[in-house]
Amino acid sequence: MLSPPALVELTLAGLLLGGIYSLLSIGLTITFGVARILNLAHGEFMMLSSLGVYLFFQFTGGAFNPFSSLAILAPILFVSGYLFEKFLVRPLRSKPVEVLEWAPLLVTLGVALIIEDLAFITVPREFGVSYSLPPTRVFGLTLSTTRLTSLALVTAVALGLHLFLRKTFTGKAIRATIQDREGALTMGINVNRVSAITFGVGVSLAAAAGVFLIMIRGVDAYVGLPITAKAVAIVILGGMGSILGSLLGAIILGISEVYVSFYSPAWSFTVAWAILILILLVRPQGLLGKRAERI
Amino acid sequence: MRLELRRIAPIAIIAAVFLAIPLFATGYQRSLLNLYLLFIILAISFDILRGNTGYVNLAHAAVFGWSSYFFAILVKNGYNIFASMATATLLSLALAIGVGAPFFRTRGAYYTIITLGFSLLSYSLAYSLDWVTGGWEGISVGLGEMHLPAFYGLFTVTAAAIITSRLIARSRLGLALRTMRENEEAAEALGLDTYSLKLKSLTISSIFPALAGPLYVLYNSYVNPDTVFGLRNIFAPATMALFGGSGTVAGPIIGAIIITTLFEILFTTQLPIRLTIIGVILMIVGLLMPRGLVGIAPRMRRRTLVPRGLGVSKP
Repeated sequence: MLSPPALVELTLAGLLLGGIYSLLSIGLTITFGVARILNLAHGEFMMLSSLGVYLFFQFTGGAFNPFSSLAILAPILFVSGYLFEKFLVRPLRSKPVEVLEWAPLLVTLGVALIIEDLAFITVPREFGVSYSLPPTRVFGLTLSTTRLTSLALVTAVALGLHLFLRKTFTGKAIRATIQDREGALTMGINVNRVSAITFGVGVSLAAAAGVFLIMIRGVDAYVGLPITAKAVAIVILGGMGSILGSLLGAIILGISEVYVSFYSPAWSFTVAWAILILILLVRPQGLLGKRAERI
Repeated sequence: MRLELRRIAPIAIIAAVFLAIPLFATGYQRSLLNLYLLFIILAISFDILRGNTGYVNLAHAAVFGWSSYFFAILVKNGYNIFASMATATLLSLALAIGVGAPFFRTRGAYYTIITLGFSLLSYSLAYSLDWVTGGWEGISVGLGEMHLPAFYGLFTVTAAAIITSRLIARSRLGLALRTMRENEEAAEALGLDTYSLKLKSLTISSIFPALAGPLYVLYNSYVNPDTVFGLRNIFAPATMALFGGSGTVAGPIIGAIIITTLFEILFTTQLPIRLTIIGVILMIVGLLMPRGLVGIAPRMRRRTLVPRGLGVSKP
């Protein structure tokens, strides 16, 4: 049985992992929502961001605070996401329906493989940063300050996104496009531009996830596809296109993964997929999704 | 269908020559031939579903993989090879239908993603159940050199898959399936039981991966999660069928031959940018070749609803 301090530590680790997953899968779900195209290269952008943190950290001899690299990486990846939509997703969207069911998977998988290959040529080994802040003591517990800071920052990013989507005009346009692309078009929204911005935001969220991920574990060039698979699982679990659903799914998956891997690491991923398939058999549209429709 | 000697004879001669090849081949060549047959089988079974019904099913890798695993586990525990083969095939077929049937509650991209999920779950399950599957290490089956029996087995399954694919294209079932592909609601309005049609095509298309699994173990004498449930097995059959030309009998075969050759060249030469090359091909197929190679060659006939010459073209 777990002792109370271990329980607190595990829950903290679970929340942080869940938070990282939620940034990643919210990014995936909004891009899917506006374009109705599943981007299998999503996790690669997260890996590129981790790689960026690692390179900054190496070149500055460890003097660089990894958290602040987000300020440089997020804009770079925003532009990458914007261009990704403009030159790959937009041409795909104009294809007939029967092609739209498979072509995006092949194309984005192709992009993922290319990015993995180039990243492996750049750094052909597992990479990580050895950065940690002195531990915090509260109520007789010793907690990792790095994790607490990460958790606070993840929450801040998520809140920032929430405000962006609720309060700004662009954010509202994104939500309108997710709800009904044609409807948004008739309301005078430039859906192409909104799509491109959404991909920029989604990929920046993946970049944030990458910064926090490399603080808690080593990353290699091939981490992208497995983690995209997890993000896909979370997105389906929460309901495709539902932001709140993704958040919920990510926290469930993060916490269950940490608890399960405390007892048996091999089972963490299996349990996640089993939960997913079971929920989908009961609710094919996901936890908070609308009825599945033809897309 | 009337069998004409003039049309059957050339096919029979080609088949006879092909059957004789492995007798003169080296071990590596035999295993390469088996790999070609395996991917032709997987590509055809993917396309029996996708070409006729439009459903993109990525769970065939899971059916193939579980069939391999069941066979390896049974043989490892000392059961008769033929009994194990039959049991593994039936068990994995039951799994394919039992787990696959509820997936038909979803459509389009959702269906594709859920079947992908089933393959990925199988992959991680094969690692997690390490007391039966051996986890990372997998299972070695000590049966000795079995390239030749595996070749004739795979050849039979390939022939059956090609014939089935052709028969479906010409049958009432095929016509019903393609009606459903064009418009599911209209098909229902015409009185077609779409759910039972989907189940039928899922069953038919899953038989071949279920049969191929044990034969694969026979010649490879080893299974681990990566060799059967890996991303290559999940995506390669789909890529081959779509690259060659989905919805035709010849397309998946041509695609499987070309892409298997490419894989073999890339992975035996250990080229540093091999993933990039595969990635570029995937992008070209997805962006520029919606009908595949067969679609480029206009002489090949597509399985269209309306016979040629009636002057009706799809909008």
